[in-house]
Amino acid sequence: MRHLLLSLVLFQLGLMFSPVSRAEGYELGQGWHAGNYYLSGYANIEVVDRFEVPTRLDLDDLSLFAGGRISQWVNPFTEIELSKHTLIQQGGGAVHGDVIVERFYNDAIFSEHDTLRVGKILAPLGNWNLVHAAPLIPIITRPYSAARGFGSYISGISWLHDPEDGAMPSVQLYWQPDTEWVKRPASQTSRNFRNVFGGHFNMQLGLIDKVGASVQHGQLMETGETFTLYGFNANKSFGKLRLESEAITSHFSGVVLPGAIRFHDNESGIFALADYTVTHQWHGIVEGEYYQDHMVDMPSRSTLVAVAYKPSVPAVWKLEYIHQAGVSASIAPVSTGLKASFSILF
Amino acid sequence: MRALLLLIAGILWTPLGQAGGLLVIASPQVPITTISIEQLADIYTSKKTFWDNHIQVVPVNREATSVERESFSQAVFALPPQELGEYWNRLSFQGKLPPIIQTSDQAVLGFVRSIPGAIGYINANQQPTGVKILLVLP
Repeated sequence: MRHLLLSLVLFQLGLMFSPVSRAEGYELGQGWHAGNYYLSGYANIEVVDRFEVPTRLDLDDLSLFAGGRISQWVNPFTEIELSKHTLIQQGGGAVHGDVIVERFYNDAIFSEHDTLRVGKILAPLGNWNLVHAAPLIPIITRPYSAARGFGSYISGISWLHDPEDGAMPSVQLYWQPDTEWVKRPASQTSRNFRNVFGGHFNMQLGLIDKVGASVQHGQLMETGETFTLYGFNANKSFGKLRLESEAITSHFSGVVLPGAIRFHDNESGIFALADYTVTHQWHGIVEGEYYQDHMVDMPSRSTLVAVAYKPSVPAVWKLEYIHQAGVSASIAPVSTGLKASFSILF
Repeated sequence: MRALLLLIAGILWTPLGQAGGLLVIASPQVPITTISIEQLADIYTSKKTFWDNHIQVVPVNREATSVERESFSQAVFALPPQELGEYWNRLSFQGKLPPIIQTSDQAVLGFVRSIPGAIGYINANQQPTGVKILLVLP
């Protein structure tokens, strides 16, 4: 594991210092470009006050990503991050973060419309999972519906098709024949998946507006169950008002391994978010979510209000209050409390 | 007399980019002679990545605070540069190369002239040589 991480870091440094014919330099938010190579990243610092637990200051994410567009067949990309590192905690104590390999893959471009992607990727399921970097999302607390009920990382192969006719949806199919490569530690995820395959259909309705549908089938390793998931996502803007929603429903079947409990055969969730641009820099946001975990008796029902201040495009300050009216699963604490964050793309 | 001086000073201080429009320029290897707004939008949203002669498309942008970038964003996308900046940041996170930044008309011109497949925009008061002029934007 350590050797693999070292080789990935060296690969990123290699990309960074490759002898290239032209160098365009650095721009905040879009990273460092040198010819067909680039290095970029983001950082996110959070203050979390969940009322019933000690307040803490976290370096939630320090992420580096590097890529290159070298030839038709060689287009590597990798992302490595330090995740959930507690800097200060009320009453003392500290939680050290984990170094995670989020993505590493290569794109082979068969045509302008067809690409074969091989490696570890973000599962194309909904919109949030694909673009989850803190400076690019409207709120700090990621909805359950966009994270919990599916394999969010896929290690294997994927086919991306962008039709020439914009009236048709783009399609991404994927297959993970075994388990996750460079597996994330247990402190980062309570669910692991294997033998996963699925697809995502995305209809772009403008620069930001889109509507999508997803399907995924796989096995949840912790319980031994198989599942089939259907998902829906939509983004729509009305002037200064931007609406966003994602919904999933999964059916779980098969014998549950000893120690695991299945309260429900289905797991379902939906969230809706409204983001109002008061000025270019100030945003007011409300969000509500319902989520019924199949391993938890009662559902989570949360509402959230937030303000975001964007002094420039790559940086954002956020403050939010979330109220939990149902039962929050201990594994992903969408519980009542306050959060504040500063995040920046660099 | 004072009014005349103020008028002359006003003319001299008017940002050229607001008055002169933009020229969309491309390297001589690009296999087209004109381009539509829709094609430009496809290039600057990374939907079109290769020219018909299989040369890679290399779009060039001005820095976010420039008058030229503001004019280009409005003319092609009818959006402020901030929204496009967010879009390109998302592209970058998804492993796609956003347009390359050059910080002056001369830098854009030099880049487009020397890089096969490059396309960019400069102030229309320039008289570029060694590149193709594909479109004049208001």
